[in-house]
Amino acid sequence: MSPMFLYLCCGLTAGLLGGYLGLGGGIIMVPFLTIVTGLDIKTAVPVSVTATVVTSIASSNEYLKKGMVDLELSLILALFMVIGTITGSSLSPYIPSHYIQLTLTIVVLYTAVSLLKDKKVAEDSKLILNRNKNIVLSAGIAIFTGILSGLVGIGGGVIIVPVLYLLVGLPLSTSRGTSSLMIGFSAAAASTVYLLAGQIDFQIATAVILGIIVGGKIGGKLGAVAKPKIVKIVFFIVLLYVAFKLGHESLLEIL
Amino acid sequence: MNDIKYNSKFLVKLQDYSWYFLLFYFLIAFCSYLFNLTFQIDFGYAGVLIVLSITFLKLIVMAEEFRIIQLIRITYIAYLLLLILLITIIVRLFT
Repeated sequence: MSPMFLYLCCGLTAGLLGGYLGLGGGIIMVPFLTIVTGLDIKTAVPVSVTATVVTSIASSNEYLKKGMVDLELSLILALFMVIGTITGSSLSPYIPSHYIQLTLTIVVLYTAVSLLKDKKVAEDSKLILNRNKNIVLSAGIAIFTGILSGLVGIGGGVIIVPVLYLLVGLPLSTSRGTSSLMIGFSAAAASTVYLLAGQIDFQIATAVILGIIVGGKIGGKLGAVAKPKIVKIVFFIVLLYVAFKLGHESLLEIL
Repeated sequence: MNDIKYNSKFLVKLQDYSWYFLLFYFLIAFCSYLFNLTFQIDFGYAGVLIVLSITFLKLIVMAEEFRIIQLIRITYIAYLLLLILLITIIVRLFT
């Protein structure tokens, strides 16, 4: 199979699963590109962040149409996330690949656990005591998420959605919508840094973006009609395998 | 929150049209790589530039929509975000 079709499949898979499970796609794309196609993580990350910008365009629009985006908050937190993302992507060339891979392993494990815990969260529950104080805390977490996003090529939704829901007190669907919009801005910042550093492989990016455009649309539609319980369990096992594979490789190089 | 409601219709339309445009564009770009057409590198590079330009345009649209409903603080935040992105470009280009 031509490598171009393999990259296209990677984008399709990331788009399908991401759209179906409500994830950005970066958490699927980077491990897929590194494990299946054998790309170095430093090539996979710039491709992933660029594709995340496109994912945000498609996914945030669905939420915008339903009025499920807090536009003010998305801009305020995006400001902090962008600062983090620029820092993360600027630091990337100076950090050895295996350390980035190890960081990704931790994020993948966190995603796997939070994916299974997700259903326990009730849509209408609120844990808000002081919204303004929590927004300040959320801004701090947004910077941290931005750094992670810039380094390992994830959108950051897996961290931002719980923050918006639990700390800021937005309903779960609005948290997802707000996160999907702000991720587009932070991913654009990282993509800009990588583009100007000449680190984006345009051939791979083209195939992955095309795949994610199509896959994301189909995945979003499937997610609206089917219950993702079984897919979540399968995806949990896949993420555990990915974490093991990435963690094992990076730890072998470090030790 | 201001009494006048934020109108996201323009932003929705912009993203809708962008999605179709990007699908069409990257389909052509993908074929150009597949058949080894000579302008392939420029096509991919321009595609990434288009994606980034759409994001910048989204920020301007959001800022102006907030200015219309007189939420000036948020308008400034949107433009500050744009400024940070532009400064990043300038710094990267000249260092």
